[in-house]
Amino acid sequence: MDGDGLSENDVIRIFQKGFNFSQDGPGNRLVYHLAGCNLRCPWCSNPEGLDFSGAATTLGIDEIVKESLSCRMMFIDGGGVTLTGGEVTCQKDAVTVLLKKLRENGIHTCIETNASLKNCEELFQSVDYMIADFKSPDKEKLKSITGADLDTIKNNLLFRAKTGKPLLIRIPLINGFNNGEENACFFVDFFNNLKAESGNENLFFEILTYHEYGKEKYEKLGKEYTVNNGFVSPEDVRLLATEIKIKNLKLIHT
Amino acid sequence: MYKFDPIKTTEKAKLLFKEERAINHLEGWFIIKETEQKADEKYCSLPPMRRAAEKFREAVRALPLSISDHAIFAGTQRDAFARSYALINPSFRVETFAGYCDPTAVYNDIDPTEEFPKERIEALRELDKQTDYVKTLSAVYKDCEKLTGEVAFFVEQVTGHLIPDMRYALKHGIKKMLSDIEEKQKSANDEQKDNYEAMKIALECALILAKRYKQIAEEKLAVAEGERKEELSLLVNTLKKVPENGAQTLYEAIQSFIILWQTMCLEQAPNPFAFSVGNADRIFEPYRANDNLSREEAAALFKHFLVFFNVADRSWAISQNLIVSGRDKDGNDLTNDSTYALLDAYYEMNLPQPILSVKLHKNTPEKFYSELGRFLFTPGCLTPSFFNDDSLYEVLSQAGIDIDDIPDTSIAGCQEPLIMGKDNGNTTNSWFNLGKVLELTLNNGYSTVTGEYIGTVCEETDALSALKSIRERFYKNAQYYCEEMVKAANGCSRAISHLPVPFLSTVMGGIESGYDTRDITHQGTKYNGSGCLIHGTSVVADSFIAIDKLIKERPEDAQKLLDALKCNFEGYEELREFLMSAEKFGNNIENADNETAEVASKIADMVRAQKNYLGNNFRPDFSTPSTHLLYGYWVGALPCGRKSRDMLGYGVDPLYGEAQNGLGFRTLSLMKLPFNKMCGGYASHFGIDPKYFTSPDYAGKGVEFRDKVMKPLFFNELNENVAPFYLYVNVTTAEILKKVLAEPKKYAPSGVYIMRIHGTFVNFLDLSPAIQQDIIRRLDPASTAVMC
Repeated sequence: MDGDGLSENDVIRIFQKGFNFSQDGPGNRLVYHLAGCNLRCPWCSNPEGLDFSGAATTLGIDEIVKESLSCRMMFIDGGGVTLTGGEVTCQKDAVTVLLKKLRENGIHTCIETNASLKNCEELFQSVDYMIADFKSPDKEKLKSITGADLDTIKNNLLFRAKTGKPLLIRIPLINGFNNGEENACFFVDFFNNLKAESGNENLFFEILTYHEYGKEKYEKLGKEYTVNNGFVSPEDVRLLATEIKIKNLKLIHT
Repeated sequence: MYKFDPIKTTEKAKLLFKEERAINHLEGWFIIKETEQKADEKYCSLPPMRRAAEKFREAVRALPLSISDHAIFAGTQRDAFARSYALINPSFRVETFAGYCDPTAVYNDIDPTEEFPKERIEALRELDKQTDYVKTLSAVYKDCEKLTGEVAFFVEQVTGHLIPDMRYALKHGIKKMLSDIEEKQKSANDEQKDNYEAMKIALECALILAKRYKQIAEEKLAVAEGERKEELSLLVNTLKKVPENGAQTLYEAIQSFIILWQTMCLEQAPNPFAFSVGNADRIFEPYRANDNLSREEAAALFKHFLVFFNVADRSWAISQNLIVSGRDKDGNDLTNDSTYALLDAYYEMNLPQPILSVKLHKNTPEKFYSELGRFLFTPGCLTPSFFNDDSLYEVLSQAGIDIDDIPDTSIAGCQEPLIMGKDNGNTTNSWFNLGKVLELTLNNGYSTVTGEYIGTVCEETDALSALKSIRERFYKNAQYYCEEMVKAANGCSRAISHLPVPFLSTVMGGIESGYDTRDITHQGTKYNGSGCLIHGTSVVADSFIAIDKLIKERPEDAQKLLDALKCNFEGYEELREFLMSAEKFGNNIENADNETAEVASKIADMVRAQKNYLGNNFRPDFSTPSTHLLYGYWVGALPCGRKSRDMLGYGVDPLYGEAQNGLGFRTLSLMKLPFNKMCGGYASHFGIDPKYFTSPDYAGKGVEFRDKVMKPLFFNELNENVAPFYLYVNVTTAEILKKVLAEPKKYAPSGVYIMRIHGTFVNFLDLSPAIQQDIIRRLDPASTAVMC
């Protein structure tokens, strides 16, 4: 069913939906992948969701709420609905409305975001659980490779952290991009400051090691996959994990 | 006592299996039948059960026996089976399958040799045709041939398919059973007294087997050296003791079990399919504990126990099942050391038989899931069927089973829950094809496949009126076919009662009752019923929904729909597209799911209300063990858009291709079905892509499997209905299987690549092409996708 006849703020464009357990927020969750992303990370595992149109289906907000309610039985172990992407903040107005309605219906909400867009405070404030990428502490490299602005990301993460609500920060660890001792120290310095400045006890960190789930999809889409050997060594992972643990930050694996 | 070295014992088990798999001819069953036939006249004046026992005793004395040099136990069930008399053997073709209507077709299964020339085979076939059993059964098939010809339903006499309770025999021995019987005879009536005599003779057959094996072992011992000498010495001493006396060690218990099992199967040669062991971990744990055997030591003995269930080169469809784990009536977990030892034995041997099932419940320990991970995620490894024990307690107690008996629930054959030693369910007695009934309803009783008139009890009317009242008309015809089916099914049960089973009866409550398990006038076993396997639920429901859509949006096309069905949508592609676009079961769409639940509920009630030969109710069983292909082949095009001769939905599952939204949505649809009414069982399959499980090791993946698949489906705290209680999975992809078929030597160097098909697991490489393609098609990846 599509949302023809509804205004821009009443619809969400998605390119995929399904369930997952614990890896997209707590418990068992109905996950909607929203179409369109403001960044172009070369390792993206869902390149089919980068464009705003493409394979997307348009769903009315009320339609999603209805569907979510019909899936309630699946929200075991504290589960609920997760919006991911693409990038959810690209449709932030509609997403904010949707999350509010889901919460009004007693459904636990979660977003996964790159946290790189400005003016998303209302959204970041209202969602029950937020998962955000923190790809690199190197401003120049981050900008040149993904297109993201580091300061905006830092501000957004700090804003969310200060709400006191749960925030899971994920580091996609990629060889030649953000691995190594120096990067590990920068990462952890920022995380440590974030914790100190916000006083949030619900800050969690997770290391995602590079994989090539997206590679085949790039080929199918006729796009070039440009990452050359992004796989990290167990030593790289151990290094960053140790730094995180030394600072008494909560490292988790979902 | 001699202590088995686990490594060497495992090597022997593997050699024993290799030797067994190299056997490509089976004649033992023929010798049994021939010996019994020759003895028939000698005992013709005896009452039926007694006569059966005497004839069986002669057969057990005549049967050639041997002990392999790789065997540590004596016994085989090879002589109880014909070689390829089963549904999914490699030469099986959907197109030419004619059902099992000829009770003497088994004689086609023996290739003439010098020892067994054609004349000898045909002579026995002719004698068999004159038996009361064959004559009665043939008459039943003759009476219903019009209705079974295109499989509106099918019926059969049920052999095997029970779960004997061997615990008493293992613990106390046959000697004690014989004295129990003598005690019972004191207060028995004349008929019971005769029956008890028969049971005594049948029990003696197990002692004869043990004695004959002991003699063979003694002969081998006389020339043996080294370790083999010690092994044979233990074997001789053990056979002196069991099964006549109670077992004390695990070795004795397994040896005793094997002889008892062999006797039970020989009694039903050539069809002892789907006998099941029950909770093997609970049966054997007292002996393992008494012995203080380690997990590794126990596993080594269990490996030989598992090899025993493999028969020659026919690795398909013996359907003997073994279950582990589960809970007691208070919800406490009953997993024990033998559970894990059995799992180790299964994993290392990876044999095509016996089928492994596991009972899970909400308190199943995480360790158990961790240990299951290796089965699920090793390519080509056997996987267990999963049962929800919590749910089984609810379903079975609603069906009238005493709560104290429910811990002994196990699986006969594929997925039919029965109580060990107390339940004669006649599980595969009748097979109901709802797809065919709908086709006949829509076409005024005529087959759209062949044009033959088969039957309807509905008045002829115009197309639109017929479609508007399709539900009413369908259920009316379903009632008619159901009643005809039950008459025929009960006829089959009467036919099989001409072959009493005194040995089986001793482990099915016969010592208590004094009657044969198959008796049609006295109930020999505590619980009794007859099974009905219901086919086509989802295609019928989807068809109703598609018809509703047509009536609403294109009522003028009512006649066009009926015309399109007659010619398999040829020239009506646009109409078919329209029908295909209607809502389908399996996508968490309320309308379609509720319709499917209603079809299941009404048909379950209809079947449950039927009475069998003893006046007990039929048991609705929504399983389709490859018969969704066979029966689908005889069903014409249906309004849901399914084309003529295509498969029906498997078990309670959506038709492949119609559930497109992934595992969560499919799980939600499934959970709406009335599992409380499926006391005969049901089948459901998920084909799961291993990439959805990201843990680095098997143990982690096993726990992930619990969280992503089993917990939402089975142990969902938000589900207020009776939860689903059965699932089997294949964790693989179509691409992987295609590679295995293309390059079997590369992907399955051992020649064995185990897959699950309905309730059993099979060597994928041994299957017929139609079944291989069915497995690939039903992986149906869009229906079980998980996010990752």
